[in-house]
Amino acid sequence: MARWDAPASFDEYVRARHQALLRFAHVLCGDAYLAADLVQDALERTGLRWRRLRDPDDPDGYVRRVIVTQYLNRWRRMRRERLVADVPDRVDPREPASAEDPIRQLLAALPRQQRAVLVLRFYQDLTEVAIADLLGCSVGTVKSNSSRALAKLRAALAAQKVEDLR
Amino acid sequence: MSIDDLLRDALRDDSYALPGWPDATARVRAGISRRRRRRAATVAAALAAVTVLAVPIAVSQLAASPPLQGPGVAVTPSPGQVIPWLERRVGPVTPSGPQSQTLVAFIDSASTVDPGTSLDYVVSLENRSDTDLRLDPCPVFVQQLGPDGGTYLFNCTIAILPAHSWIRLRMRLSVGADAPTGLQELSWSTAIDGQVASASTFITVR
Repeated sequence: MARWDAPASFDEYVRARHQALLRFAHVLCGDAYLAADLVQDALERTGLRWRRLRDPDDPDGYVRRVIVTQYLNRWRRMRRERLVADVPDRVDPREPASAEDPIRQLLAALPRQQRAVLVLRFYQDLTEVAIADLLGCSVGTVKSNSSRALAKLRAALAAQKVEDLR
Repeated sequence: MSIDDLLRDALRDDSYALPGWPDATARVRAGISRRRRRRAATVAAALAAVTVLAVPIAVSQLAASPPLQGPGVAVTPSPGQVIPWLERRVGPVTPSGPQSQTLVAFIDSASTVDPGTSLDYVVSLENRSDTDLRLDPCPVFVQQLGPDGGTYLFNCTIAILPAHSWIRLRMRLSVGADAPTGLQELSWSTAIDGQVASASTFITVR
């Protein structure tokens, strides 16, 4: 079969944006290898429908949507999500030392939907309406996910402070 | 420092940065080619399955369906004619493959669906080539929304999709009561006369 001939604009897009997308996916899932898988998958899907993108001037929006959807669906499909309070010991040199940051540990313990909402809000600076559109849920769901996640983080941080004082 | 600022700082920490891929375009191109090869292999399996499955199924449906047009009997659909879908699941095969530039599919669907209901949508199938496409043997199509969907046989009330014409196919997909909520990709694909068309869109399962 003939090799797939990518449009030049798609090649340029991949070259220019893949690193930023990797970072976004890493922030979203907290795992460097999974982030690479998500970005690879999203770029392949995007390439296949490059000429039919609804908003060709903003492919990032479509790619981000695929990354988030695949991240949420992957966990749904594999049903192996484990909510842990502590990050396990790391020996992987690709895992940064700041993975021990308490905020990161708390983020890792959040349900994926709540974590996705926080990442889209505080990393991507998206509005609640934009997040609802991207996740395919109502603005009310975004608000409740956000406030629950923040409440959990506040409570955990307060408990940590008390522990430190002892 | 507020929780918002703490989060912003934590999420924007440079330790989240990952090294770029030195061969990014080649890596993505290879992945896309791999996907297309996989689909092509599945098309071959689908077409083989159709020859085994379509004939007995079509014969069994003759009494209940509108008359099936025989080979060589061209029924030209008027542009935009809506042909209702007839549910006949044929098996776990996937008619996908290298995307055709001449057979193009578009999905026209509502953006939301409730679990436990049916999603009715329309697929427009356009033959942009200069040659007629034969729907003989009767082709299969695949529709999938999350875990729901499968492989089905067209009702084949037409035998030929003439050059530079299009038809609209009314589709129905049953969404399971336990379907995962949120944004899901609705994908649709078919292979007609060796030409593969596929389309997808995002649907919110509420």
